[in-house]
Amino acid sequence: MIRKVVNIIAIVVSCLALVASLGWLWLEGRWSAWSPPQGDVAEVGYDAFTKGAFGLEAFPLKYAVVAGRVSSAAFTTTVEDGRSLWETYGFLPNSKAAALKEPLCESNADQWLPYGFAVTNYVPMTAVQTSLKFAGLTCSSCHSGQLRHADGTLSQPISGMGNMDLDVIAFTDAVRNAVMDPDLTADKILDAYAKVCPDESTGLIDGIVEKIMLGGWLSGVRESMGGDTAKYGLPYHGIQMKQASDIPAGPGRTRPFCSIVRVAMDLPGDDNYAYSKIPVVFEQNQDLRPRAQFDGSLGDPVTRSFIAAYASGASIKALSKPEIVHNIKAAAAYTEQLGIAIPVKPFAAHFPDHAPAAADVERGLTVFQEHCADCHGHRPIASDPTKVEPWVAEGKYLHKMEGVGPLAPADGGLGVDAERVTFRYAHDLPLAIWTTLPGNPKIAAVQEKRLDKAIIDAQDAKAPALAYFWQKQKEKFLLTKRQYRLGHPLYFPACKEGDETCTDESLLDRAPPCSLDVNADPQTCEITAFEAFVNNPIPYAFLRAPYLHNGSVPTMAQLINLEKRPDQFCRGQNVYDPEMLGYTAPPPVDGKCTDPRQAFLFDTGVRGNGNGGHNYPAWDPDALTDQQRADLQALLAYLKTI
Amino acid sequence: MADLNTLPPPPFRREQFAISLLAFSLLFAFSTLFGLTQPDITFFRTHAFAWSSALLVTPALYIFIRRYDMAPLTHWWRLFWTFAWVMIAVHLIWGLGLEHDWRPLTVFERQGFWIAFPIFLLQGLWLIDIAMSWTRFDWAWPTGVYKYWQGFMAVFVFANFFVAMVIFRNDTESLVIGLLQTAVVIAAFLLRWNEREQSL
Ligand code: HEC
Ligand code: HEC
Repeated sequence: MIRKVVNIIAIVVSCLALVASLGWLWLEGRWSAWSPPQGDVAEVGYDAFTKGAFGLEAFPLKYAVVAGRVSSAAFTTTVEDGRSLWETYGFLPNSKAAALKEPLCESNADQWLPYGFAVTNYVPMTAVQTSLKFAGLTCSSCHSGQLRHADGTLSQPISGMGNMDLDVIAFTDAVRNAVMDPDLTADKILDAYAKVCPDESTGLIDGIVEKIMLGGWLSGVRESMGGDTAKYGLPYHGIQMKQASDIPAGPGRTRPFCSIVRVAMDLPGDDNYAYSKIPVVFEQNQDLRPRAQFDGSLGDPVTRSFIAAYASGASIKALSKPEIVHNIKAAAAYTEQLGIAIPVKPFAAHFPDHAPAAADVERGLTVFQEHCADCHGHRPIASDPTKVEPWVAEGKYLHKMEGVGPLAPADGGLGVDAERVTFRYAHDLPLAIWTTLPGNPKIAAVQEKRLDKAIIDAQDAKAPALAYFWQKQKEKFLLTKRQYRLGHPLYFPACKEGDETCTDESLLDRAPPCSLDVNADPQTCEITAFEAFVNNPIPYAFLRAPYLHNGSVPTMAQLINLEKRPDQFCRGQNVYDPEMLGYTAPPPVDGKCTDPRQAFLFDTGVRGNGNGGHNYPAWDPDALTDQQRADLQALLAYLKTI
Repeated sequence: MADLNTLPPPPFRREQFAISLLAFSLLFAFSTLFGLTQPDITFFRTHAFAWSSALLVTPALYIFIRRYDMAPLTHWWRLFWTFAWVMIAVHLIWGLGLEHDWRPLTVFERQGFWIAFPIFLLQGLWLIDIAMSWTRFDWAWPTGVYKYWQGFMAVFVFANFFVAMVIFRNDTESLVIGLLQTAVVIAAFLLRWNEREQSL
């Protein structure tokens, strides 16, 4: 009898276990079903760029609905001034939100989630797909912006412009604060959600899965963020999130190298003062822009796109998912054509009343040819001011690197703030990033050898701890190599599809450490770390304000020495000034930025914020001759048209 | 010598099926679902299926060593032997499909012929062996060539697991399970030897 019962129990339990696991696998297949979208770059690329999943899931969508209620302490900055949670951190508003009458719920997320948010179902880090939906950042969260007119109106979102309102680091701290809250539970989120959206129903199984996954997400993220405080410190909260003394990056900037040193090297990034403005990403085509990033460190556009997602926190696992790989590649292709085959509205189309006079523009071009085109190339003047001619990539120093720090030429070089390129570990970064993604077996073998060499080199350089570091990196590499046996789908350098002449051997010349020559011509190394900035074209210059890599110069007039560059100014939601071509950035009063919407004090005296250098033409704005002034005014007029 | 084909099959008891199925299902569920907590779900599952197969084959090896050429094999042996194969087939599907894009040649390219070949050979030969054990009347009392075949298969299967788990020992789990399996095999031989001594 007992035997019979035991048998029955065993068989029933077996069946349950099999049904549960096979059922789960079946559901997984359903949740992760995906087929590549069809269409041209303009369309597919735009979707990838603005709505595509990149493994940057911030939190579950249901939580996004109720975050302002259940986590208001974590998100409140005290300078809301009537703005929504999203707007306070600088995300672009959803144009459909104002007309929305119903409550904001999961089902109508596309009508209220800020522009540039993706709705995905990838669990952060592990990239498992379930029925639990997440809100995630896309390229557009950072790389789409709006122009704020003096009357308070906003332009349509401009794809490819940097979001100069976005306080992405403050937002990350707010999220960390929120999920580390011991009072936050899955039940609390779901209860609050049910109150806001009582009419929404989730299927039985999906509902159960969702609840389990939500709890799992919360405990997982809390554990990892809690565990990471040794590396990241406690998040800032309240007004600290808007204060330069606490979060020095401020609006429109990030600390990409602080992050990438952490994720690729597992080293602390706190002593990193490389503040990068979120750049515009127009005309990324390699003919015009063979190398990107402010220091020209990256070649291939797909790698540019991958590094962006990786530095922002996407896991290698997420970045290997077919859908995400597609998005990375499609977004890269989009940026290659954006501004070329995919039109970007020029200045005159945004500010018809401020369109410069043709004669000024013409004179400005000659000034530009004399003082600027050697480094930047130029754009011929278009007959129709609402269109642009293709950029002409010709110039003596175009695409070359301008050294700063020890590499600077004797005449002083570019002279801009050097923190972006001289930070600690910069020179170890290329190999660390390259070996993050194991290549195909042949390339992986070379990656392993180069890691071995790094260990030996470190010993030879009498830096045993560095040798230890590379040994650890190698262990990590060997593990990932086992996980991506045929190579990670985004490894680089890789042969382009259809390129018959490309071989694995030829690729390896382009892999780090492959170049010690800052101006090797052409610079073929896929990833470099020179103490230099790259001379690149500057298409759509009016959308690049505030200028320079650290955003330290609010207007073009100031950059070209027509006006004096301010030492201190207030940043946040600044109004665009079409005359001076840049942002109206008011000075602080008694050292304080009192306008809650421009609460960030940008002090160019702070390490990493320097606004010196790029002194072209090298004229003194306080002592301009009439001729110089007229030249600069004409130059400004021309710069409005490129 | 009696005609072996006329000997009655070894007695079948329902718990043999229930317990071996339970072991299989729990290991399968663990491998599938626990993977959700791991950083790389496919990688974990592929490995966990292999570990599970090693665990399932261990009782079969034990019984085989204790009984081979001395007493008829039992349903325990046949069931665990079969479930272990199913599990290794699942492992292969995951490894080949999800980690090698369904391109077996890449396994050869990556691992080299002498590592890749036995893995595929094992899969095929073991399946033949199982097919015979479920179709031949003399599976429990093999004679002649079939007997040597069974002996060879047991050695071949164990050797494969031993090399993969103890020699290559890609992770601690593999090594621990591999050593456990080896210990069980050695124990089985010792017991078998002891039994022989006593019966002499
Ligand atoms: C968290 C904000 C953020 C996100 C999200 C982001 N980027 Fe970026 N991106 C940056 C910053 C900051 C830089 C400048 C880095 C530097 O050189 O210091 C940059 C640089 C770039 C560049 C180089 C531009 C140039 O001309 O030098 C490209 C191209 C780029 N990103 C594309 C993308 C794509 C494609 C995506 C989506 C996959 C993306 N980015 C997502 C912040 C972001
Ligand atoms: C010696 C080479 C060189 C010359 C000459 C030069 N530039 Fe630059 N320019 C650069 C480099 C390098 C950068 C990037 C520096 C940085 O980001 O900090 C840059 C940055 C800029 C930017 C800012 C781009 C952005 O995204 O913030 C503008 C605008 C610009 N230059 C305009 C000009 C104009 C106008 C002139 C002529 C008056 C000029 N440049 C002359 C090398 C040069």
